[in-house]
Amino acid sequence: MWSYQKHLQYPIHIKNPDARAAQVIISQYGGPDGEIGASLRYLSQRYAMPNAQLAGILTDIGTEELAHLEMVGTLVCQLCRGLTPEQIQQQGMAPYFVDHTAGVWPQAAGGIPFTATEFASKGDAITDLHENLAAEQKARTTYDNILRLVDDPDVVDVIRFLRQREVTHYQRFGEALERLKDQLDERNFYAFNPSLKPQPARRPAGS
Amino acid sequence: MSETLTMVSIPYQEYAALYSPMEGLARGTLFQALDKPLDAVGGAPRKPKGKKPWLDYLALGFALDDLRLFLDVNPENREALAEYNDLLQKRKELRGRLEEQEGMTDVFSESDAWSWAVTPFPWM
Repeated sequence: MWSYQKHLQYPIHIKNPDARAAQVIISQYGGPDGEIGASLRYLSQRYAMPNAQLAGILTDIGTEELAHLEMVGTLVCQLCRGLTPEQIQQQGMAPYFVDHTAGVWPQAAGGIPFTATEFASKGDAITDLHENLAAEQKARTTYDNILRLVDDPDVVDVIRFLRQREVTHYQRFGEALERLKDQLDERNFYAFNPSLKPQPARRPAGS
Repeated sequence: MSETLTMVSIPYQEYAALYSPMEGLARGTLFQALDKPLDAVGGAPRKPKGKKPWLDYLALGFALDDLRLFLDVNPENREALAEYNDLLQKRKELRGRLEEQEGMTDVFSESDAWSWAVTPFPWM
């Protein structure tokens, strides 16, 4: 189960509201490579993992992605704070405003609602870890693109942080895949689905 | 193993050269070897902003988050575990001081006044 810490993973203090920035950043809330998809993909994939080590890395990265979801929600919330309906109109946010006011709702920047097809839980540990390597790269590219579209340093700092987390997670999923490979036959990694044939948990050296 | 066909390989990260917790928070990783910024942004990141005891608490929490992921895939690394335990102790001490000044940090905080849903939430 989870317990909540009453702080963000990285502090956010936006001084200048900007509906244009909010409309692109919201894609990392509910867009195709956003943080809802990331967190619930990893947390859902856990049940197919053949050992505690792989379930553990998915639990911890999935949990961190929930913290990133809160950070992206905070960015959208603070970027819209205090805007008048006229400013909302001028900054192109009227189509969102009419349905959600300034509430945070999971959608892509183009207005497409969040869809559970992003979860990509395949029930095969090799396949799921590859999915996650790609997912981290897709989220990294999205943050790259956001960095090309925003210039307020208070926003840039936060997006830089989130982008670097994708790079770090990519490395960890790669190492997780190496750990899984160590338990399989390198002559044929695809001889069986490791999620259907549970493997004993790997013990630390010397234990 | 690295020459095996039909499968990707990613090298294991060596445990070396950490940033301080605050520098790690600013950069988004505690590990210098993983720090790969986007050219288009340029320059070193600014120091994270916030009230002092909270900011140090966040930095320690983040350092633990990043070390935890390293330990998940490298559980045999004693050096990383020692660093984790050291930071954990520092966070515990700071948490005590923070709760005296600011109230509850999570639902397991002991308190003589119910501040959990009274003091502002992080986006407020």
